[in-house]
Amino acid sequence: MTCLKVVPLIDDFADKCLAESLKESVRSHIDSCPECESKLNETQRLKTLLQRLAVPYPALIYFNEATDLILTRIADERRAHQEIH
Amino acid sequence: MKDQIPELVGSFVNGSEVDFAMLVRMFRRKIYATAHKIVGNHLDADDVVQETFVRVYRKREELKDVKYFSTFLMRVATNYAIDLLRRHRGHQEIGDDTASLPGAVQLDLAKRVSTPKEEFENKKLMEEIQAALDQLPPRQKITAILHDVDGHTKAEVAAILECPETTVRSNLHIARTKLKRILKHRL
Repeated sequence: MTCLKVVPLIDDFADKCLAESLKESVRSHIDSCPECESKLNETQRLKTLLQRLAVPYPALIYFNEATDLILTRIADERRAHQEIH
Repeated sequence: MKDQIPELVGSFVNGSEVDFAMLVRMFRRKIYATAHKIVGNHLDADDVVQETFVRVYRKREELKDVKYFSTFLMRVATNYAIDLLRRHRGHQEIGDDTASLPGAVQLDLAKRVSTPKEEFENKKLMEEIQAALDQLPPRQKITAILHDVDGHTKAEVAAILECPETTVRSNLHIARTKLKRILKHRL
């Protein structure tokens, strides 16, 4: 395999979802091509970095209040709908 | 818990509000977390959570033909988040509004760090990753978040965004290329 064919497959190789029939030849090219190996390593490092993204979670009280608001909005809509019909 | 979902959805579609409330409780944190990564602040994430469940309630008839409730839910959430992102484009950036979070705030990562310095470094890293994601157009950003951050498969992302897997691959590739450039110093 050449770099031209391997480069578009690097994402799927890094994501472990490359077709079985291609895996071996892509692996063998990457083992012998520093440029493609570097591209794969960079993709893997980016994936690892992105997986670390965490969000600040509000306390349970927020989720309970949000749930109450959702249920209230729905009850209001249902009441308005019943009044129309 | 997961096994209960089809039963709860069936009952919700048939009019059970108790089971709808149960579904809200089961999925609200997941929707909040993904929404926050997409919109980048608490106020908009809160808006996405509330609007998503209200819209799902309105669309409940459609759920009769839906295989996976979580995919349907995530689709409604991401569509609304895309609307919000587009609405905010060109407007003033909404900054870090962590202080507006009700109750105790907990950075998930803080659980795994031990010193104030490490905590500071991690907060900085989170802000850099979020800022990098914020530079992407909405579809690329959401594809990268759903796939690379939240761990959905390409097929799942395609189902959520209602597009072919080839589009997911292409958006993911472009997003990664841009992110590698923006976050080069971290790689």
